[in-house]
Amino acid sequence: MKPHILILGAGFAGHTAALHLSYLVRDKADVTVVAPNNRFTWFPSLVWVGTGTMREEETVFALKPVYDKIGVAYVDARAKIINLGTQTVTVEDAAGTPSDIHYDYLVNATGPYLNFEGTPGLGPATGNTTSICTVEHAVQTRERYLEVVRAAQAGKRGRIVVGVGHPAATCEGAAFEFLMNVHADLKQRRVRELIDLTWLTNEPDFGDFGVDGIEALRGGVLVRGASPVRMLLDEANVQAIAGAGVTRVEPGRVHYERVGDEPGSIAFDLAMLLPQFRGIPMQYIDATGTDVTAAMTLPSGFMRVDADYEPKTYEAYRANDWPALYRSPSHDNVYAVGIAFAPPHPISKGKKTGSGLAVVASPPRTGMASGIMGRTVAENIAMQVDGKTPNHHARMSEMPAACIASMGKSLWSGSAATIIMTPVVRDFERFPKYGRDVSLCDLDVGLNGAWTKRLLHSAFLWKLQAKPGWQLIPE
Amino acid sequence: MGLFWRRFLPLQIWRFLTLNVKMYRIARGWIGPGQGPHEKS
Repeated sequence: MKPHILILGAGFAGHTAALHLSYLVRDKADVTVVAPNNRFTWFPSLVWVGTGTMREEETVFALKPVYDKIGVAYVDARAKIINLGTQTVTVEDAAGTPSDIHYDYLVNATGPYLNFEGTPGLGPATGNTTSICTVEHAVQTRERYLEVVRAAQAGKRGRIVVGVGHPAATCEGAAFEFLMNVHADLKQRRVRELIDLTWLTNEPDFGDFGVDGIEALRGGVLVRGASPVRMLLDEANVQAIAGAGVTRVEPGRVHYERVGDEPGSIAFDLAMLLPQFRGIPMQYIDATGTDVTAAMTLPSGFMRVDADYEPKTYEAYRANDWPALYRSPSHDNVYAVGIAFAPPHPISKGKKTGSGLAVVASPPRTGMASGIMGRTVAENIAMQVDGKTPNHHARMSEMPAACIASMGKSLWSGSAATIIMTPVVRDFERFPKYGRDVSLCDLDVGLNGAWTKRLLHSAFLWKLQAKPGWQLIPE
Repeated sequence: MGLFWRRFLPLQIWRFLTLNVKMYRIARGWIGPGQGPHEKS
């Protein structure tokens, strides 16, 4: 009987793992993906859905036809219980009907739980803010945004606040993209002067993006990300507040504490604030039937893997703290990738407000990083299926990342920041001066970024649908 | 970089080509920090 590889989740990490396993273990193992909604979402383009410059249909595709094509089974359900003793996962379909699926190898790629309740008053369902974390959220944001635009077109001034809604939130880059797209769209609609825009972020400084900043050599001179980001915010006439931890949101007003400053609040007509991410709530059971969730995960709900989770200060952070294989230390057939794995610590330096509130940008690990992890785990599981010891590694301290931050979708008048980091997490042992290979890092702002963002949208939707030649497009 | 250069078409075409080639080479692992099929570091 062939071994069974079970992948929980079909985001960047899980879906990429499924694509690569489809040919790596062809005829040697069966692969099944469990994910709800039969839908893949290309999240990087939701910033355009939120401003009404892209239709939501252009950012999604159905998963099942893709899996049918590449010989992977698909189950439309959510994972609830991982039984490590019997090697089964209890899943629930949309109707709430449970069933058990056996696995020989398990990949937890369940992505984030959007912790809106972590901040009182935050969120689109029961709170007072919107988000662009899902297609539905982005559509809801668009409707609210267009109301503000219509009011401005009728001559009414408005206030839009964009940023993160929790002191330990992540994905500041995506929120920044949305901010700059709102600015570009308002300009195009000729109502920019009637709308006050505010950037509210938990980053210790502008351009940190949760990765301890970005930099590049320009004519032999090191340019740090804070300078161009400040310049862009100034040019766009955005009120910018860094080091801010949002504490609560009332209808029309967001309250925050700020590092090195008094607490403050801002009035808004629309607030798009990203929530904190936590692990998807799942129960882990061992062979004796004991609940071992606390041992398998951190309090954040993310799964422990081969990282060094010893608490340490920012100065003591090391490149090798980060996981290499993304494998559970106690179960060598269980992996966690993408947002589902527990990072050992932040990448950025956390700070505290006067009241002692810790404000720290959590590590982003979406997009390219998630894709690389998914591929790496697929390669390692394929080695295990062949009876070999897995040796593919992709620490975030040896992993590159390219990020295109859109600042207007138009291919003629749009713009974007192109950011290349090598590696994502600084490694001062390999690169003593800056922790990164700054000769390869890049930071560019211009029209060319708008072209690249559109190119990546089309290329990756091609790749992720396993269309001919998809393997030529790297993660 | 000033607004003029961010819109200057020849420079933007050049940057589009060079940056995308660089990103492709890094993503392929041909250059860069070196994750891949090696002994665990």
